[in-house]
Amino acid sequence: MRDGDVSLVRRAVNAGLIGGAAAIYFAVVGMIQRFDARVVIYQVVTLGPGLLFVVYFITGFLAGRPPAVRHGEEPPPPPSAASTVGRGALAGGIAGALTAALLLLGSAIDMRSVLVSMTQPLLDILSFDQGAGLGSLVEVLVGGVIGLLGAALHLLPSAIRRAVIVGLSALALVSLMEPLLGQVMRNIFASTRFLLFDPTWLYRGGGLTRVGAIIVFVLAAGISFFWATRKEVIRGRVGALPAPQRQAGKLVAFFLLAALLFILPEILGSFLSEVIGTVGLYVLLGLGLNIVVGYAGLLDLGYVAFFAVGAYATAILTSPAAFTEGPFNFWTALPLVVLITAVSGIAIGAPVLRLRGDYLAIVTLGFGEIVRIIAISNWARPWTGGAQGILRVPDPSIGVELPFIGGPELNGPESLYYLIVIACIAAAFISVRLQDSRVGRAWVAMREDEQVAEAMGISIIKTKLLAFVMGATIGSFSGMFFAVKIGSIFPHSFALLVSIAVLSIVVLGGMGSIPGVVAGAFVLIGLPELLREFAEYRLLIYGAILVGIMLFKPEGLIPSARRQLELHEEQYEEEQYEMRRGPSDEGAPVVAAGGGGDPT
Amino acid sequence: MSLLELHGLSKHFGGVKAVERVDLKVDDGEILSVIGPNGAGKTTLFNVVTGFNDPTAGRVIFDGQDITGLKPNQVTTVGIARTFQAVRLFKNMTVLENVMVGQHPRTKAGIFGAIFRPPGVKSEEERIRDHGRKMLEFFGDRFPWKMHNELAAGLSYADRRRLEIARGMASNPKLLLLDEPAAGMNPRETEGLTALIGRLRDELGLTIVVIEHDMRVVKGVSDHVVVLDHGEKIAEGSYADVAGDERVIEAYLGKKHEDTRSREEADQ
Repeated sequence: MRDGDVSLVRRAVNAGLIGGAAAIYFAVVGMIQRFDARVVIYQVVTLGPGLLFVVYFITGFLAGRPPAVRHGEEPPPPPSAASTVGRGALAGGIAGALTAALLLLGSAIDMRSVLVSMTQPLLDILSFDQGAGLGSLVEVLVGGVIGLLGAALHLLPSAIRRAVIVGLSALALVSLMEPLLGQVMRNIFASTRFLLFDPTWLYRGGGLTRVGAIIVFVLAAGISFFWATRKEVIRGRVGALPAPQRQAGKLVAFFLLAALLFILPEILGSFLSEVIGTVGLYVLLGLGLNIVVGYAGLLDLGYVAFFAVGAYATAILTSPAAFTEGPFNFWTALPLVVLITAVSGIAIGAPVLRLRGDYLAIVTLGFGEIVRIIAISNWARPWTGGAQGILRVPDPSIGVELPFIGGPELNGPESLYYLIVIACIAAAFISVRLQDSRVGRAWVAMREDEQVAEAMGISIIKTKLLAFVMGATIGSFSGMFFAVKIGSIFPHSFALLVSIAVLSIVVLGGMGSIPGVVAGAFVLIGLPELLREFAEYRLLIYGAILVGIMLFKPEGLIPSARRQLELHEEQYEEEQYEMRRGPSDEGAPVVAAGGGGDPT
Repeated sequence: MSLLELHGLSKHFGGVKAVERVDLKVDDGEILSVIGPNGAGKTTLFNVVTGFNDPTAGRVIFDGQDITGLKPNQVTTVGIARTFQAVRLFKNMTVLENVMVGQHPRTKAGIFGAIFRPPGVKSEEERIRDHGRKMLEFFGDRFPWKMHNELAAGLSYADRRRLEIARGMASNPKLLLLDEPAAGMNPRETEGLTALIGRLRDELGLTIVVIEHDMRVVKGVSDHVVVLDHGEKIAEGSYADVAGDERVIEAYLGKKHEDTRSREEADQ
């Protein structure tokens, strides 16, 4: 046995142990049993054992990785197919064995006094209803086989491997999105009677049908494969189109998107519209924080403060239950609310002007809590209502009869949805415009090196305050919509967790990236709303997603162009070096010969 | 007429007298070199002039105006730009953006301008861009157009130094302070830099103060040389005057005989 083989086997054993630990953890915290209620493919697999299979699969995949190529060293010869598959099976088998051990232990001793989730139903799931003895053997076998399949991915050409991974992920996603997609299909089918939208071919019993699963997998994998092989050709063709045509294409895409956003509440129905509205609130918050953190690099952990100020200002100004008895309606209050939060942006920004990095984060964290504690305090009770909050925040009705359409009814989740969408589009537009402007450059310069930015004539005080004020203003809109959406506000809605969620959205999506914020809000806010079974494990999954993103895609889901360059700097610098070295290998003397030596 | 005057400028850090009662005059359109051994207070002198450190005593007069104690951004606004000893670019901005930031104190667009982009802001933005490109073109073929949108982090060391100078130039200063611009450059690049500093004065009409250790640069560019040691000005004059000055040689090489002997004794 060669040296390399030993280390590869050791790695496989490690992967197996970690996979086994993960499987045991999921079982012990009760996820597997809880998720068993969720069907993935009807009468084939539920999410409970499905989760175990995913663990084994990833374990096998990790164990089957070829040895890493060290920089500047000869790449070792790739391991044989048998070795790759064997390691996968070994790792999967070890993970399965650990799970089996838990099964045997659980059936021998009653552990429920310590681990409440170790119940008979869980043991039945782990043993595939075969009893502890036979079941543990099956568990090891299943682990080994799935681990083997995971490792076998490495034997496929990369385009196909990617297609398989995409296909499997799509299958999981489409299945988990059943509450959303099924409802959408039912709604469309009800009005069009178009057979494609009859949900019964795709979904059954809360999961995919077997046919549906196959279709989804083949379709997603096919598209991925097609894109992988034809990407360059398509990009080339689009690039070759004359500018006006490309412009027209963009315009058409924009209008299609607008039209989709417009009819979305019709398709979704009121429950899902409300979910989308909540996502929209977080998109707004994310866009606001993105300016503070993503553009200006000021790590604000108390962003919820602006959200709270916006919501409280709206409630106090408009609610008949507030001490002011609501002299304003939503629209007349709007400019005042914006003004109040802008001032609060200065109020919070001013004391932290001299702080940077960690210190700024800690102080803003404190400010976020201060706002909530003031709102809940007895002292502010006459104004904020204390723990009882402020009730009866009115809907944003216009209260004017317009010609032809009459007084538009702006209440209920659907109409609020439109307002939120418009605000999100406006905020995104503002973000885009700011990014590429004098102010935007000053923010980035300040983020890069505060001292040098100052030496370039940038007033740090003004620039920092501007970032806080912009962030506060956008956040205040979210607070306003939140107040009218819920119809009442309570201090506990403005906990630290909101700040963390918004920051997670920005980081997950990609700092400084606007599409990233939207994607992040859908993943972190939208999905948990749809997957109610997951509610208990929401923070656990949050954490796992964030750790995963930081490890594998630190630039975020949809990185901004700048961040992408930053985090792949090393690779980028190498490419630059290669590019420069390419044509003139002799190096310096050629350059000295004149401008012509500089490769262009 | 003198553009910059320092009157009895001192900067103490606790008991350390980094700069001690320095008087200095920089004439309009001249190139002045500040030399001295390591720790002589050259960079601190720059920091005090540009507002990074407040002086312990003394005054800084620029263009007839007292700028003592102004903030760094205000100093840049009145017309003094600088580079840093350790290159400090905005690494994650592109080459062009780095230079465009230089125009910040000369332009006005604010939040509303950025969002609504009225014609005035649009043309200002274009002016900033054109000005930036012009600054880069000053370096000939060092910054071809296709490099303008690359990240500054990807530049070679000498190009980073050049870009820092370009960024300083971009703020339309009257006075440019260069802190060891030739550090880390090879002889050929140093030669190019010497020519560049001359061109900055001749073509852009800049007054330049340069801190430099490389005597070829000092000899090549200076109208006038000032020598600092332990924060104090110990000599002043043309390169030839200064190079022959006893105190200067002493500051660089140490006193002959007695000094070395006494140090050896102290070591034992």
